[in-house]
Amino acid sequence: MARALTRRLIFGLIAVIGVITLAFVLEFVVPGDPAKAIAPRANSSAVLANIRAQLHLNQPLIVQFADYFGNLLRGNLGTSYVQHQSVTSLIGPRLLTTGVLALAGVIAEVLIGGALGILATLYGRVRALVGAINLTLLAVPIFVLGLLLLLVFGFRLGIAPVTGGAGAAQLALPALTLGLIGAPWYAQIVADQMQDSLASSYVRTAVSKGLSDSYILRRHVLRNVLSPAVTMIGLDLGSYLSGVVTVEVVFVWPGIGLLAVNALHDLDRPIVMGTVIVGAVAVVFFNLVADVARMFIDPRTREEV
Amino acid sequence: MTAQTIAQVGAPPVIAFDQVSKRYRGGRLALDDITLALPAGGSLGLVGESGSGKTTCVRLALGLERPTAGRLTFNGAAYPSGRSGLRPLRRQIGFVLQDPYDSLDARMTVRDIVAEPLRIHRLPGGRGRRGDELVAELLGAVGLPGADLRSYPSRYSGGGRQRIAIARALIAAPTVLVCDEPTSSLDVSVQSQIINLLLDARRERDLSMLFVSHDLDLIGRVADTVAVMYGGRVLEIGPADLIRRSPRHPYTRALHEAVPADHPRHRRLADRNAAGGQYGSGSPQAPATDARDSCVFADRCPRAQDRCRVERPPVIAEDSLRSYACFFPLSDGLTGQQRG
Amino acid sequence: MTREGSGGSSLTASTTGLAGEPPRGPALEISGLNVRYGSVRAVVDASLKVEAGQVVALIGETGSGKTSLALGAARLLPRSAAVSGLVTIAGRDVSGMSAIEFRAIRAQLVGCIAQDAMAALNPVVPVGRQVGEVFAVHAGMDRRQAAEAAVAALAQVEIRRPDAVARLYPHQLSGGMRQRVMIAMAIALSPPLIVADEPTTALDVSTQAEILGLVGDLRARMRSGILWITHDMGVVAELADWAAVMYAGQIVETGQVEQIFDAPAHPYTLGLLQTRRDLRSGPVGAPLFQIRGSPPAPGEEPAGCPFRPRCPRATQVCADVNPALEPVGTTAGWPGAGHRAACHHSGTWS
Repeated sequence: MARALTRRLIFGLIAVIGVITLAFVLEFVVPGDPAKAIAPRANSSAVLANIRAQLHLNQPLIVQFADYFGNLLRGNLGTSYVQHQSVTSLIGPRLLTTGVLALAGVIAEVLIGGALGILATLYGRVRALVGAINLTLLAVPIFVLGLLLLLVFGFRLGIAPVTGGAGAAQLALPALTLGLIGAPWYAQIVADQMQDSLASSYVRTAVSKGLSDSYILRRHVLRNVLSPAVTMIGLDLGSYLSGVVTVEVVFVWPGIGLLAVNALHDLDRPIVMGTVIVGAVAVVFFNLVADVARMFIDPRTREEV
Repeated sequence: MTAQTIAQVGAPPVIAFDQVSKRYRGGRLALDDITLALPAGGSLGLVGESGSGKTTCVRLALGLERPTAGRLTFNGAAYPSGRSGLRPLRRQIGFVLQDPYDSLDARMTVRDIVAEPLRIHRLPGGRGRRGDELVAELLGAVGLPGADLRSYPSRYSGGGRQRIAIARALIAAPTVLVCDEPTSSLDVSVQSQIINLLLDARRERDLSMLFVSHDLDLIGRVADTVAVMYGGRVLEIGPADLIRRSPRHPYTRALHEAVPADHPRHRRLADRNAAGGQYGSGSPQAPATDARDSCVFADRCPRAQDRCRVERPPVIAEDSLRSYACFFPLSDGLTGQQRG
Repeated sequence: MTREGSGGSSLTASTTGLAGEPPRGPALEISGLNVRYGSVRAVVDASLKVEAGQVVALIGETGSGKTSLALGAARLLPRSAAVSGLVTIAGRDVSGMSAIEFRAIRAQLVGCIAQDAMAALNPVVPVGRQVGEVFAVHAGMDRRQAAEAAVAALAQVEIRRPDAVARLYPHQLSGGMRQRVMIAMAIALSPPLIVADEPTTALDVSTQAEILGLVGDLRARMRSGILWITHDMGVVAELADWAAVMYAGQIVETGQVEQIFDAPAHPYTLGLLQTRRDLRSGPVGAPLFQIRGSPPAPGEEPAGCPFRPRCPRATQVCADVNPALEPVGTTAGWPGAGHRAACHHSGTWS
């Protein structure tokens, strides 16, 4: 098991390094002159040249990359061009904010999706209805759903706050949006796995041992359902943490996604790069966590085949 | 015994394993220094239980994998490497594998499945009417006359699918037929039909045949020469009837005696006192680690002595037909007395 | 009904209630069983009896209905299967019980051994726990007791180092060991009936030999009746006291196993025997004996006798009338008691 884990760790690290390199390269594709972005009102070329020299922008690429990488390892993500603060200090709190939303969103989608999936499996009559619900939720664009919820619960019914912010009250709608959008995926996995399990030979064995239905569901079926669900949870957490941009924009949730959108607008390269890197690390990290969790749940995955 | 002693005079063996070993990544030794030969026009049977290495032999013979030691030859020449190098060789080998539900692509029509080798080897008939006729002819020959060329495998039973697989194996006019447990997944009454089909095909087209099975009786009906495998090694080789009537290797005899009785009068297995349960519990598995300096069957052999555990028995040729790897082989008449 | 030689007094019949009563009537009696999947009839009007301590082999190939018969009798078929007919186990009418009633006592009445032990064991639960479940749920044991009972049960099926094996997962065991675990689960509460669905078909021949030896041993010690499904006449010869042959959903012959082997009365039975004999003793390269044609797919049985298209001696009456299971005339030396066959020409085979 340790071998399998170290391999994943190493691949994860390689992935992160790859993303960093890619992001760095993309820098040069993003239009705009950083010097101008920092000092938009400077009209002397000497000032601009000075800024460029300070940022080492006239050094060869390799040097700039080495510079950047070195800084990264020290936890220094650079300084925002626009806000003149360290990127780390800007991203840090926002990361937490997004984290709260991500967690809430995942909980919502697992609960809603899981419930849908279980209902569809156990009650045949409901299956078609659940299928229709799933399809609808998949088809709706996330911002449409978000805006709809905002309109109905915020403006019309007035039970949800309509101003942005990171309070508990403000969490409800964006989390619900994420939950509804992500639910069909979980519904599908849960339903598929449950059906497979219920039709399987080992469930028949359990029946032949005279075990009750609820016992079988709890002890035999659920475990097998957990494994793919855990994988997906890991993927979701990772990807949400890299910024659930649309939801944050719609609900003005002050998370990392909103920060990144604004930074792109302002051509604030360091922040953009910072969010990209943080996102990549989050994805890799949660994937690893999901892998480890899976190894605990399903003993067959413990050995490297 | 070398590959040459079984070969027909003049013609090199069609497929020959010369001290071949195969170790997989991760360390598993699937084949441990085996020497086998399929003579031109002859039939060689490999019999063994799971983990014996017989399927690995098939994979090597089909060029799907390469040996990690030793020499593998086809008509005397080494197996080429690379897909394009192997193609002319593969055209000469028709194969039928065990699982009739897995070996046919469920999304291809019967016609396309059977004609696929023509396409792969760029022979006429890959597409178009000529191919249709060829396919129809072959399907008739395997007992599916009038089968709808545009039907899908799901329409057929296990036996039907194996017939399709056989048609596919024969369409490119191979010179060798390789069968790996072709009937193990089939019902008993269908099994004989499929085997008869294979025997007929072999006779009519004068094919050499490599037949792999776990069923000692079946092998004895199908192959002239039988090689008994266990734990990645060949323990005994000889003519089928001799292998059965008077085996030399204790494992061969164990295998023979493990087959259930022909009549309730002669039952032995379910009555422990009769058989004596000599062969130890635990199923045969290939040794997990390196080639040991010991006989691979020593743990379970009732005749094993100290020598068997510290020295690997070499293959001894009793005559030009029989050979075995055992320090204490059985003598004629299954009396189990020690020899030598 | 106690087991001699088993470890641990906690395993004797007294804790399981039902098993403590002496067996009333045959281990299994099936009368007029029909199993239908939608419009397809998988088992047609089957009747069968397994006495206590007896092994009855249910012989058939794919599509014969043998699995549907056995699982239908044990009420293990999915709800889409329509099962009707009378089924009694140790004298109790299980076909008439409600699902809840039956579930409460089923582990004490019938133990099931599935064919594919890898699929029939939960891959994410250690095997000791899976065996222990039977004790925990039905014998009222707590976790520790159930675990001990599980280890003892594994020892009973001749697994070496049962305490270590109990902690392993199914994929870590060999095929033979998994099958032993299945057997341990089935015999855990010493049920009067054991239903075994081709437990050795997927095993190597030497592993099969060991399992047959184990079953022979257990059978001598326990007094359960065993319904053993197989298509292998050799296994029938080794284990069975009585045999029933199925074809196209019908029982076409039943009798004592010696009768079946010496004087098969149905041409299909004869065909199966001849197939095996020829395989075992024919010359190299010669064509194998074969029954021509193939079994009908469920739902596509021909009119009259279902075996007619493949039968070498079919006559017109075979196409018109589906023969019923009738007693066969006695053959010299055998009282012939109970030997029945569904054939218009039974008694003309040798």
